[in-house]
Formats: sequence, C-alpha cells, structure tokens
Amino acid sequence: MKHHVVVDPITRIEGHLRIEAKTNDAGGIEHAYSSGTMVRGIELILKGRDPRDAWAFAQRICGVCTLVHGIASVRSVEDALKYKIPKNAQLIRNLMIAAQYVHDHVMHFYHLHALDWVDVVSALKADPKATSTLAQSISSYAKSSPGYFADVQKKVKTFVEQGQLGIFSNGFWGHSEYRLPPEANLMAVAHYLEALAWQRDVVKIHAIFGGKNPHPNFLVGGAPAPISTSPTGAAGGAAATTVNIVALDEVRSIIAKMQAFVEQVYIPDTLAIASFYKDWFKRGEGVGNFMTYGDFPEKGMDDPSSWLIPGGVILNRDLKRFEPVDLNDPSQVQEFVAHSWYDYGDGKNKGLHPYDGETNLNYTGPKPPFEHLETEKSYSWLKAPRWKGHVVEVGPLARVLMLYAKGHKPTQDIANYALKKLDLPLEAMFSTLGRTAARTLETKIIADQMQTWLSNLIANIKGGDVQVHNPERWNPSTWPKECKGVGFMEAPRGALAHWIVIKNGKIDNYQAVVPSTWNAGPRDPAGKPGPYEAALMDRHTLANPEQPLEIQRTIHSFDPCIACAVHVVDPNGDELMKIKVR
Amino acid sequence: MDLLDFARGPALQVGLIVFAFGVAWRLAALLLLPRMQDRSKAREGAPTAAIASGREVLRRMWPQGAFAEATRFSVINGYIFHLGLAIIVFGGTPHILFLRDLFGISWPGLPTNIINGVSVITFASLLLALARRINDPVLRLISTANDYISWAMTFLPVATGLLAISHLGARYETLLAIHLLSVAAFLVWFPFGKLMHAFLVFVSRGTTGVHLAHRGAQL
Amino acid sequence: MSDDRTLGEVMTSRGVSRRAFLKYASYLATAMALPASATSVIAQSLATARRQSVIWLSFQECTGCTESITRSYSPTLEDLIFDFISLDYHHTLMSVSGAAAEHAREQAMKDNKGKYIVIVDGSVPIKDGGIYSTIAGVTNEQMLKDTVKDAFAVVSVGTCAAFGGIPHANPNPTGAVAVSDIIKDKPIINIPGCPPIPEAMTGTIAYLLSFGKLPELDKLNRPLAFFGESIHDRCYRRPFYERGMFADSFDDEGARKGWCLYKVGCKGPIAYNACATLKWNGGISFPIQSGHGCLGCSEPNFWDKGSFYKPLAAATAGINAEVGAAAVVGAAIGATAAQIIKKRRQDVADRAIKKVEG
Repeated sequence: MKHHVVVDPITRIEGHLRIEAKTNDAGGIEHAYSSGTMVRGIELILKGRDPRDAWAFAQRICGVCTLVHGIASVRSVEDALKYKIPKNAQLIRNLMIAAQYVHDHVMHFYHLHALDWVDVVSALKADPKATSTLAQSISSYAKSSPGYFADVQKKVKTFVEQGQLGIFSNGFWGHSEYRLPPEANLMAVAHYLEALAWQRDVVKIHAIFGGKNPHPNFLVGGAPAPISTSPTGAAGGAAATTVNIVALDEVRSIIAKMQAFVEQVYIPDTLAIASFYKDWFKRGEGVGNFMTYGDFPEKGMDDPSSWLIPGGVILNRDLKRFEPVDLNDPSQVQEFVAHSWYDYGDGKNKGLHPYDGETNLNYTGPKPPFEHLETEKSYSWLKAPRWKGHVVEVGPLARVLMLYAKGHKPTQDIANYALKKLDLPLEAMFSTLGRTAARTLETKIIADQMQTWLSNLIANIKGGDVQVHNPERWNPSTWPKECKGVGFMEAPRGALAHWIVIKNGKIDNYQAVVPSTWNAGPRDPAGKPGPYEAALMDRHTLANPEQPLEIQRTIHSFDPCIACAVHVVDPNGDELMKIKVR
Repeated sequence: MDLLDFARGPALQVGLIVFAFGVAWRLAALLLLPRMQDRSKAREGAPTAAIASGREVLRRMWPQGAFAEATRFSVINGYIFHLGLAIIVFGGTPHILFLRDLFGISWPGLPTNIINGVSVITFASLLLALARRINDPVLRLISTANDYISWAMTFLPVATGLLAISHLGARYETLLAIHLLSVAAFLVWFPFGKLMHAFLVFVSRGTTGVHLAHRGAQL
Repeated sequence: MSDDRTLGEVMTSRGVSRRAFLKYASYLATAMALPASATSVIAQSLATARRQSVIWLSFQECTGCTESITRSYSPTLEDLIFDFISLDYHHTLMSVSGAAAEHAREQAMKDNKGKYIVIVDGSVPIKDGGIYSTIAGVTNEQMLKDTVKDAFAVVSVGTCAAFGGIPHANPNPTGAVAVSDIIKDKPIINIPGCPPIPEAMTGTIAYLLSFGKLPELDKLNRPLAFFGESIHDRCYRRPFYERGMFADSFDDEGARKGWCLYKVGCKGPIAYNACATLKWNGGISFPIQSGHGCLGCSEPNFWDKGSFYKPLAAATAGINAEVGAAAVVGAAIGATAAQIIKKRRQDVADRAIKKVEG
C-alpha cells in the first residue's frame, strides 16, 4: 500500500518543521518534502536600527544555537566597517563558540537524537549489574556501578508504572527498529540524565564572558567583559568584573570536565549505539556535495591561514578537490523561491545573492487547518539556497570531511579510530549515522583545542595585554556613509553567514542564510530536492508508516534548527520589503 | 508604548522641534531687526561699543547704589537658583548624557550626592522666589501669567527630578517619564515666555550699555 | 494525597532521597520569600502520587526559554519532569513526533480536564489568518485556544509569550501578540525575560503545584518574588552610580574597575528582574557583572526603546531632520518678520520725507 505520511510537528528539534513523505507499496520513501511552518520576520525588524544593536536581534533567531547569530552579526558589522578586534576578544569568542559546539552537540545527541535509537521502556528489562559490566567495558567513566544503574532504572520504572509517561508519552516503544539490548538502553537513559546535569556547567563559560546563557552578550569591536584589574592597576586580581583570575581558573576546570565527558561518555556511547545500527551507515546522504565557510581564527577572520576549520566546497563526494567559496561573489551563493512562499520581482525562478535579496512573502498554501501541503507548488517558508546552483550539505559531516580531506591530523586520527572500531570504510561517513558520528568526532577535536586558546588568553593577560574591545570605530561618526559586509562562521549546525548593508549609520538591508536553510530548504526551480529531502529519498523504508521512526532518525541526524532557517517575511508584499541593494 | 517610551520619544521630539523653531524665530526676528541709527554725536571719550557693552554686562551682575538694598534678596536668591540650575543641568551625569546625545560633546559629571544637594537648595530657592512674588505687593501687581508659567516650567523639572532620584511616590520609570515630560513642557514654553532671557539677557544688557555710553550716561 | 503512604515512602518509590526533596522545598520557600512553615506544605503537595500534568506549547519562539529551563540548578529540570510534573507535551523534549505527539496533548487534556497547566513560549501571529505559524496544519491561535480551554492556569514564559517579544518589535511583520491578548478568561502568570531566569520559571511552577494558586503578581502579572525590584536597585555597582563613577566606554579604565554602566546604555533602572540577586547559571555572573549593560529584557517592548547603547537619559530620537527643519522654518519666519518691519520703517521714513519736501 502506498502511503502519504505527514510528520508534523517534528519534535526534538528547534522550531517548527513538517515532513511529508510519499512511499511505494513496500513502504520505501519515493518523495519527501521538508517544510518550515513558522516565520517571524527578524530581518525586516532589523531594518533601520543601529548596526551595533543587530547582534541582539539576530541572536534571537535561535536560542538553541544561541550565540551563533550574535557572532555572525557582530562579524558582519565589523567586516562592513573594517573594524579590527583585539587578540583577547578573538580568543574569548573562540572559547565561547567552542563551548557552544560541545554543549550543543552533546545535548543534541542525548536529548534530541538518542530516543530515535534508544527504547526507554526496554531499559526496564535491563539487569543493572550487566549494564554496569557493559558500561565498564567501553569506558572509564566513574558513574558505572550496578547501584547507580539500579537507581536510574527505579526512577524510570516509577514513571512507567504510574502511567504518566510525560515526555516519553506515545513513544514508538517496542518498535521493531529499536535494536539495542535492554542494558544499552538503560545506560543511554542514565547518560540522558547525566548530560542534562553536565550541560549546566558547560554554559558557565558563556555566563563568565557574556553574562548569561542562553543569549550571552556580545559587542561590535570586541568582547563586552573587561578583564578585571585591581584598583592598583595590576591585572587579574580584583573581582570588579566576572572575568578575573578565579573565573579563568573555573573556565579551565570546565574545559577539563567537557573533555572528560566527551571522551568517557559521548564517544563510547556513540560508538556503542552505532554498532547496533550499522545499516544506517548505508543510507541517508543523498546530495554528495558539502560546504564549509571556515572558522576559529587564531589571528582574525581576515587571515584564513590561521583558521582551525578551513572553508571550501566538496562536490560529488570527491575528497581530492576543493572549490573556494567567495561570499561576496553574486554568482556563488544564491537563494531560490520556486517552491517557497515568496515572490521575486523578476519571477519566481531566478536566484538572488543575499546583497540583492528580495523577500516578498506570498503564502499560497492551503488555509489552516489543512491535511496536506501542495508539494507540487510552494510548500515552505524556507528558501532554497544553492552554491553555484549546487545543492550542498553543511554541518558537522561537511566539516569533518573537509578537515579529513585536507589532512588535519587529529581529525584523521579520531576518524580512523572510530571507523576501525566499527569496522567501516570511509564511505560509511556519507550516511545518517555518518553524520551523527561526525558530530561526535568534531566535538572532541574542538574541545581539545579549547585549552590552547585559554592558555593563550592567560599568557596575553600575564604579558600585560588586557584589551578586549577596540574603541576606534565604536562611534558612528567614524563610519563611512555607506558600506556593506558579510559576517560568517561555522555554527554547530553548519556554515552560517549574515550580509549587512549600512547607510547613514543605520541598517539598510540585512540577510541571513543559515545552516538549516541550506539543509532543510525545499526544491529549487530545477526540481532538485534539498539535503533533508534527498537524504530521506536515499534508501528509506518505513517498517510501520504509522510510526515513522526512520524519518525521525535521518531528520534528527541533521539537528534541525528551523527558527533559524526561516527568518524573513513580508506579509503585504509592500514596498518596505522590496529591498534591492546594488 | 508606555509612559517612559512616550516621554523619551514623541514628547521630547515635539519639545525639541518647538524649541528649535521658537528660538530660531525669535533670535532671527530680533537680531535681524534694523537698528535705529543714532545720528547724534557721541560724547567725548565714549568707549567703543565692545567695551561699553561688556562693561554694562559686568556692571549689571550686581545691583548698584540706591537699588542695592531693595533688590538684595532677589539678586542673591536669583543667583542661587540660576547657579543651582546650571550645576544641575551641566553637572548631573544623566543631563550630560542627554546633552551629549544631542550635541555630541560631553564632560565629566559631579557625584550624584552633590547634585542631590544642589537640587534641594535650588528647589527651596525657587519656592522662595515664588513666595516673594506673591507676598510683595508691588511684585504681585506687576506679575503676569508669563511670570507664573515661566516659574512653573522651571520649577517642575527640578521637583520631578528630585522625586525621580529619590524614588518617591511611584516606580522609577514613571517618575523618570514625568521628569522628561516636564522637560518637554519646558522646551515648548521656553521660546515664547520670559525664559528666552537665557539667550537674550546679554544681548539686551550690551545694547543698553552701548546706548548709555553714547550718551555719556553712567548708571 | 491520594494514598496514605508517607512522604518518604512516596519519594523513595520515585528514587528521590527525602533529604534532596526537602532541600529543594526549602530552597523554593527561601527563593520566593515564603515563611519557613511553607517548606512542609510544599513538600507534601509536591509529593502527591499523581504528578501535575503540564502541556507546553511553543509558538513563534527561538527555544531559548526551553534551553534556559534546562539550566535551572534548583529545582533542576530532571527533578521537575521526573518527580513533580508530567510534561505531557513539549516539542523540544518529547520523544515522539507527528500525529502521536498531538494525541499525547489531547489525551493529557482529557485526563486532566480543568486541572492541567499550560505553559506557553513564543508569541502568536494573528495577521492574515495566522498562516505565519502552524503546527500540524493548525494555526497557533487555534491551538492555544483549544488547549487552554480546560486548563487551570496559563504560564507565559519569555518576553515573546508574555508581551509579544521580538516578533512584536516594530514593524511587527506577522501581527504577533502576547498570550494575554488572546486568552481573557484564565489566570495568566507572566515570567518574562529573554530568556527568563531558569529558577524564576521552575520556582513559579513549583509554587503553583504546591499551593494550587497563583503567587502574588505585579500589574504586568509577573511574580513579585522574582520581578519585584529593579536590577539597578540590587546592582552591586549601584554605589558607583551614586558616587558618579561611570564607565565612559567599553573596556576603559572605569569598565575594568567595575564602575556603573549607565553611560553605555544600561537599562537596569527600568528593568524588573532578579538577575542581580539570583544571577545566572548557578550564580556565576549576570550581564552587568560581565561588562555589558542590561538590555531590560523582562520589560514590554524592550526591543523598541532606542539603541541598547543609548543612555536612559537620552531622547530616543535626538536632533534629527525634523528638529533641523523646525529651526530653519523658525529662522525664515523670524527673518521675514524683521524684513517686514524694516520695510514698514522705511515706508514711514519715506512718507515723512515726502511730507517735509511737500
């Protein structure tokens, strides 16, 4: 029987996503459609405001990958104003972005993704002692006693026996596609709780440098938190601001804690779970093109040689060739709206570079409440971004492939270790679980780099350099009458860039093209599906169309962030939004 | 939009527009007036216009001769609230920030406690000025609505400012809004009442000085 | 309590130690300034055998509020959802997607009619029939009305749900409104902030569970326990404000010495929240302590109060084209008036000369 499966809401993601899939008689997905169903219009709200304020607005695009839009925004303003930031600010930003990666990836794995592979109810059948043996066989993590697992099991048991399953209500428990033994399930549930407690400490790094998390503060021209100096002027001693010698010590111990959790829990769990689902290393990657913008500058965004992650494009899974990316080239990054609820002045089939971006909203979908979207026409609030016309995937898989292909030693080592452990070839990375594993691997690479950045920061301070903000271009009277710039970064979910046009000290145009738009966008005028859609159309068969667990797995492997992906709207198609900048 | 948004936004915007319009109008109208030519010959030894006007401005800083005793209170009290107002407006940090935002220049402020003290003295001094205006029969007779409105427009910002910094009677944002509204009212009234003397006082005194010197009069 | 087990037994059966539980109850009593006797009331109520059903609706949001609640140190989110409440619907956390998720919501509403609590994050777009945000093909407005119908109370977390927040910021492209603009017949508690302080959310929820009634609220429906005082009044930098010691710019001498941030745009004096007392992320810091002025994020329309770096004392518009134009027009009228007078005097003089000559 053919099925038209609708999954809406997709849960355990950020934002509002709807997937429609059409299957053949065997349950195999033949057509898949990804639709973002919520808009707020943040770019429109940004128009006419002070560019120095933009980061706070842009950051509210997303509270999960909180920080990334703030960083891209301050970088776009700094690029437009040719504004150099101090060394310390660069290091502080690196530390904050890295903390975001580690936090985001671990939480994604345990709280947003794990339940696609882990059967919570099955954990009740586990033997705590056997669980303890299993845990100790794969890791040296301290919390692994039979008593510990028995306590966790008791907690879950009460839950289930009470008949109030809360967040686990109506789960596809007992689905034939859940293949972990009860002990592995119990271990994963225990680590679900551990990770929830652990992440609270990780984000303290944001609170130290940015005052709070979620949504820490940023500043155009550097970092907002001065390095505390004592009344006598000696660096580091006083507690006038949070950034003092005590807090920097705390940062060091938090980093150590992050590294330990990644090494002792996250990596072993990923490998353990993956070993039961090896067939998921053979499906779920349908595009074959990957793109990174590059990030983590040691010296500054204008010196790509100092970036930890390089930028570039890989086409057709060819790891020997890299195309350079130029975000200012109008023929490279373009957004299409052929299947999106927008119109362009020169027709719906044209592609526009973000500097020339138009955003005339035109909802043509069914009137709510509705059953199905009109997938032959327009069906999403997301646009379809393309690089030189190519569909490209962005995110951890793209980054790990790029680092691997360019010969980054730590990446090659950890990737080869994992592949060997799972007895898989490199090609296995082009898959649903390849994507999930890449996320785990890059978490380690980045967590390991953090100590170096912190040491460099402390060395600078000891050397007497406490500057975190450059006042030179702060005052709008020092700005050119008109300028434009692009701020880019590698967000945890992939390549992110903000394009800004500043006129007379105010924002004249603001466009963000974000990772989840690259990945979750709809078809383009040529009918080429976006990465989510292509991935779902890559060898997926639904064992039970009523319980589309397989769709959840592959969609979650991308870590969707849909509030990010949809951000522009023009309800009336009025003049205000027909922004055209030359 | 709450009251504070209204005060910081539209109210002050209207205040500044009316102020700019009114001051420009009155200054242009007065300064571009054709001056009557004095065709008489100046007294022998009459000083130049610059010296004459400067001397007159200086001389008028303190009451002379016969008037000294009669005007002592209003002169002293006048100095107190004029200086007080100047210290508050140009020494209080929030006021400096207000002006910096308008004109792009700033200078260091005085500690809040000093501003508070000066505000209290100014507040009392303004009340005394009103009391005298009401109690002195002559002064009362020659007082017009202009005098009372101008007094109120000066007094209100001082009073509401004091309330705001002492958090008396309402939440800070409400008190701040009322204070800013009183400033907006001050700005609207300023060009059309006798508050305009802030711009004209030295012009009129100087002109008088030139006239008197021409005639050789010494007051 | 539906059975006669002791508190300890109930807790033990849930795998919670009695000590940990009482510790939490007394923390809550302290945080919300309740009398010491409240501790046992809280403990008893929270220990009811059936956990309170909570339905969490997410509309035009960024998930920052959900992220924030996971950062709560006491009570933790784990404590809350495993021991005290039954979180029956929550997009970001629930295991199941699609129709099964919607069924979970409907089931919870049916089973707990009149008793469940609805938590909302995100604003609700009402322009153009609400097409700017749909879930399962239903508009947010519809889902909100349907879900709240049989609720006991509504808790709007975050400035978006409480006051409209960033989607509501000028020019409000999607017609976003607050929950209280739509729901008029249910008690509503607002816990604003962008995001709210995690303990303000978990603390208020726990209060609701413990006492079955709303805590004392201010005129914007915010719990006074967390929103009763301004940041400025509780700020550790307040003495510098009083002494006139300010940071003039970011990272200058004053900034490094931790002086007041009023001059660089701090909105602490008009922001009512507990950042300066509870602080963030386990009490390690809060925005001002980390060098950036308060954005005033717990206040309605904080996005539209002029630049974040413009001091509170400055006019939001300042000297703009309109003020300049007014000055030019004024000068022109004044000059014309002077010209007319000049002409009139000339006429008088001419007439006089004519008379003499005539």
